[in-house]
Amino acid sequence: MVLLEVQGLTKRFGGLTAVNDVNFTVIERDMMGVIGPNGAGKTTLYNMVSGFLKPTKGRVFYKGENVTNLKPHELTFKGLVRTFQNNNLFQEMTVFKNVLVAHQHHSKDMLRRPLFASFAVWKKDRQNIEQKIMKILGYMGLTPFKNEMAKNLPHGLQRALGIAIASATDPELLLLDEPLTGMNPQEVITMTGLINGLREKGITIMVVEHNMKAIMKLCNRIVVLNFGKKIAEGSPMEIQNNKEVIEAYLGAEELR
Amino acid sequence: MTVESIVQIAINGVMLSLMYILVSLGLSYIFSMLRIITFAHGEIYMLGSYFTYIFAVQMGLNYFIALVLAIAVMFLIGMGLERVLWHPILDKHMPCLILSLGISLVLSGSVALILGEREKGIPTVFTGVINISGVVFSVERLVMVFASIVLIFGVLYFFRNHKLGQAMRAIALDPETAALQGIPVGRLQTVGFGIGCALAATAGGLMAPIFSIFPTMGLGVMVKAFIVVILGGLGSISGVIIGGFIIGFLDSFSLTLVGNIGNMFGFILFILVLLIRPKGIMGYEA
Amino acid sequence: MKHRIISGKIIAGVILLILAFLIPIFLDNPYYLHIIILAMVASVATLGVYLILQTGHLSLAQAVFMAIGAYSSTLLVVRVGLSFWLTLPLSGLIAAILGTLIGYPALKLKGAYFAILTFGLSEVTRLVLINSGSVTGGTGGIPGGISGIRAIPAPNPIAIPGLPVVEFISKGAYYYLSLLLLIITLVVIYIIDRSRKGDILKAIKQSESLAESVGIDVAKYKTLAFATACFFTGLDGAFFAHYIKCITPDDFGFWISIDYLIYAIIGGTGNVFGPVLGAIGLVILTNLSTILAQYHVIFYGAIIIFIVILLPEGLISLHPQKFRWICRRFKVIKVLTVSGLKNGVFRK
Repeated sequence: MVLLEVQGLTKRFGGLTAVNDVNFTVIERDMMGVIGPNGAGKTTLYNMVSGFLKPTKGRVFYKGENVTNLKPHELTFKGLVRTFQNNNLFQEMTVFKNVLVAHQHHSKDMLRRPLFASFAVWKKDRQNIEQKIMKILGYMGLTPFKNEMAKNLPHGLQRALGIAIASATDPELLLLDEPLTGMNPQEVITMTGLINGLREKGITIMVVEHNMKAIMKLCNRIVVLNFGKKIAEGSPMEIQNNKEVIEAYLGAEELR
Repeated sequence: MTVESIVQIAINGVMLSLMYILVSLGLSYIFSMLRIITFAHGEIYMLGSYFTYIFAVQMGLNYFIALVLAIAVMFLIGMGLERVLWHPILDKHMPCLILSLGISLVLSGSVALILGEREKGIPTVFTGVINISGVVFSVERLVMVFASIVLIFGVLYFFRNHKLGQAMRAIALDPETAALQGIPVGRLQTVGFGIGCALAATAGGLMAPIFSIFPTMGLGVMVKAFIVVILGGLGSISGVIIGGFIIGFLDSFSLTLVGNIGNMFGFILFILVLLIRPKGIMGYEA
Repeated sequence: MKHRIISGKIIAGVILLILAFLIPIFLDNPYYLHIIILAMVASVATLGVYLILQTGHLSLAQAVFMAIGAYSSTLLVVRVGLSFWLTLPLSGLIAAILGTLIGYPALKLKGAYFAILTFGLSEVTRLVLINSGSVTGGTGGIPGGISGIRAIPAPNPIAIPGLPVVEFISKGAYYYLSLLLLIITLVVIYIIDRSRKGDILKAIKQSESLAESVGIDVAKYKTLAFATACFFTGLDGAFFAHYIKCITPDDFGFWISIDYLIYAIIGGTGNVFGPVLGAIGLVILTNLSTILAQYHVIFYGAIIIFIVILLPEGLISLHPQKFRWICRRFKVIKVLTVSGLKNGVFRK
C-alpha cells in the first residue's frame, strides 16, 4: 500500500527555490533514504511533508488523503511523525518524562480523559503507561538514564531519545532527520540496528542522512536531491552507479 | 495646507526617519550578530543624549566634540555591558530578554537618580534658517540630516568593504562557519554590540539639541525602532531603511496633524504587520 | 515523590492561610489593609503573567485586561444596572473572550515579537481609553471626567439567610473578597501547573516544534492558557474598579504591566508561589518605604539583573545550598570580568 505520496512539491523563499517540483512515493514497510549535498533541500522537504512548512506548490498525500495543509500535530494523530536534526528535546524534563509527554498526546482519546479522573482509573492507567514507556526506553537503550535530565545526556543518547520520543506516538510513517549525525562508529552500528528493528516492528521509515554507508545498508529505496530537485530515485545499487549522483557529490569514494 | 507646512512636515519626516534608521540599524546589527533582542536599546539612545549634554553643557565642550565623545563612551559602555552581562547567557533566549529589561530599568533609574528627572536641553547649536524660494529650512535640522546621512553611509560602507565589517557579516550569516575560518566570533560580537550601541547613541546625540532630554525618553524611541525593524524585516538592512522612512514620514504627518494621538498609527500598522506578515517587507525570518 | 503524607510545605501553607484570614481582625489600620489589598490585586495579575510565561511568552499587557475587566464591570453596573456579583464573572468572561481573539494570532509570534506586540497593545489601549471619554466617562450618568470614571459603586451587600449581612463599606469585606479571588486563582493555576495540562505547557515552553510533533495542538493550548490568564485578570480588574471606586486610563498603563512582569521575575517563575511572593513582597515594600518607592526603578532593575545571572528561578528558589552556589558564581563573574578586560576586548 502506498503510504506517502508527494506530488510536485515546491518551496520558494523569496528568490530562492529550496525545493523544486519533487515527486516520490513511499510504500508500506519501505525504508526510504533521502540524500543529497548540503543545502539540497532535504530538511525543507521534511518540513513540508510533516506540516511545519506550507508548500508553495504541490501536494502531500498520506494513505490517499490530501494532508498538505494539515498541522504537524494533526499529522501525528494520523501516524506521520518526524524527528529533528538538532537535539530537539524537552531539555528540562527527565528522559522518562520526555517520552511520557509524547506518549500521552498521540491519540485523540487520550485527551478526552477528564482532568480529574478517578484515582483507581488513574492508578491502573499509570501502571500501563509506565510499562509502555519503559519498553520504549529499553528498546532504545535508555533505561539506565530514565531519571536523567535530557540536557545532561551525551550526544548519542540525545539522538536516541529523539527517536524514542517519536516512536512513543505510535507512528506508522517515521521521518528520521539525520539520526546518525555526530555519532562514533560504534554508536552508528547500534543506532542502525535500532532503526532496522523499528522497521521490523512494522513502521515505515524515511531517513535523511549523510552517512552513505549506513544509508546504502539500511534503505531499500533512495531519493537523491540536489539544488532542490530530485535527480535520481532507485535502489542503493542504482543510485551508487548513477552518474548524476556521483557528480553531485564530487567524490565516488563516499558512495562505497 | 500650505506648501510651507508640507515642506516642514517633509523635513521633519526626513529627520525622524534618519533618527529611526540610526537607532534601528543598531538594533538590527545587534540582532544579526548576537541573535538577541534588547529592550535596553532605548536607554542607550537616551544615554547618548545625556552624555552629549554632559560634555557640551556641563563641561562646556564644543558640541561636535561632545557628540563624538558621547558616541565613544557609549561604544565602550556597550561593549562592557555585553561582555560582562550578556555574553555568558547568549544562548538563552528568554533570560537575555529579561536581562535587557533589567538593564534598561537600571540605566533609566540611575540617570533619574544622578541627573534628576527634570528635562534638560542643549542650546541650539546652529541657529538660523536658510531661505530657498520662500521655504524656510532650519539650519540645525539640515545639519542633523546631513550628519545622519553621512554616518549611515559610513556604517554601511564599513560593513561592506572593511575587513572587520565583513567578518561581522560572516558571523551574522553563520557563526559556526565564521569561527571555523578563524574569525574571533566572541570578541567581534562584543564589538558589534558596541557598534549597535554607538549608532543609537549617535541618534541620541544628534537629537539632543532638537528634542528635550529626560530619563524616560528612550522608551518611545525604542518602540519606534522595533516597529521599523519588524516592518522592514528583521535582519534586512534595506528593510530598516525603507521601514525607517515609512514610519518617519507616517509619524511626521500624524503628529503634526493630530498631535500625540498620531503615535497610534504607527502602532496599529505595527500590530497589523506582526499579525499578517511577521517577516516584514524585506525580511526572511518570521 | 509521595512518601510523606503531610509535608512541611503543606503545614506552612495552612499556617499562612490561617494568618491571612486573621489579618483584618488584628490589623485595624485601614491604610495597611489597603496596601495588602493592593498587593493581593497585583498578585492575581502577576499570576496571569506567570501562566502566560509558562507557554514561553512574555506578556506586557496584563494591565490591558485589567482595564477590560474594570471598564466592563463598571459600565455594566452603572449603565445597565446589573449587580456587581453578575458583572464580576461577566467581566472575566469578556476579558477571556477578548484574550482569545487577540491571543490566537498573537501567540504565533516568537517570544520577543509577542512581547513587543503586547507593548503596542498597551499603548493603543491607553490612547483609546483616553479618547473615548463619551463612553467611559463624561456625560451619560457616569460621574467623572473625560479620562476617568469616578464614584463607582461598591458591590451589593451579600445577604445569605442565616448569616449576618456582608456590607462592602469598610476595608474588611474587600480584603476577604480579594483574598478569596487570590486563593481561587492560585488554586486553579496550581492545579493546571501540576496536571497534564501543565506538562503540556511546559513542553510547549521548552520546545514548541517538538511539542507539535508529538501531537500537541500548540496553538490551542497557548491560547487556552492566555485566555485563562485573561479571565482571572479580568476578574481582578473588576474587583479593583469597585474597590478603588475611581479609575483612570493611567491605572492600566504599560508601566503597570511591566510591574506585574517584574514581580513574577523577582518572585520566581519556577512555581505558582513565586509570583505571589514577588507581588505581595514588592508591593508592600514599595508602599511602606518611601526610599524604595522613589528608587524602585533602579531597585527592580538591579534585582532583575541579579536574578537573571545568579538566580534564574527567582527569589522563591532561594535556600541555603543555592546561597553558597551563588557566592561561588559571583566570584566566577568577577574573574571573568577581570580576565575579559585584560585579555582582549580591545585587541584586534
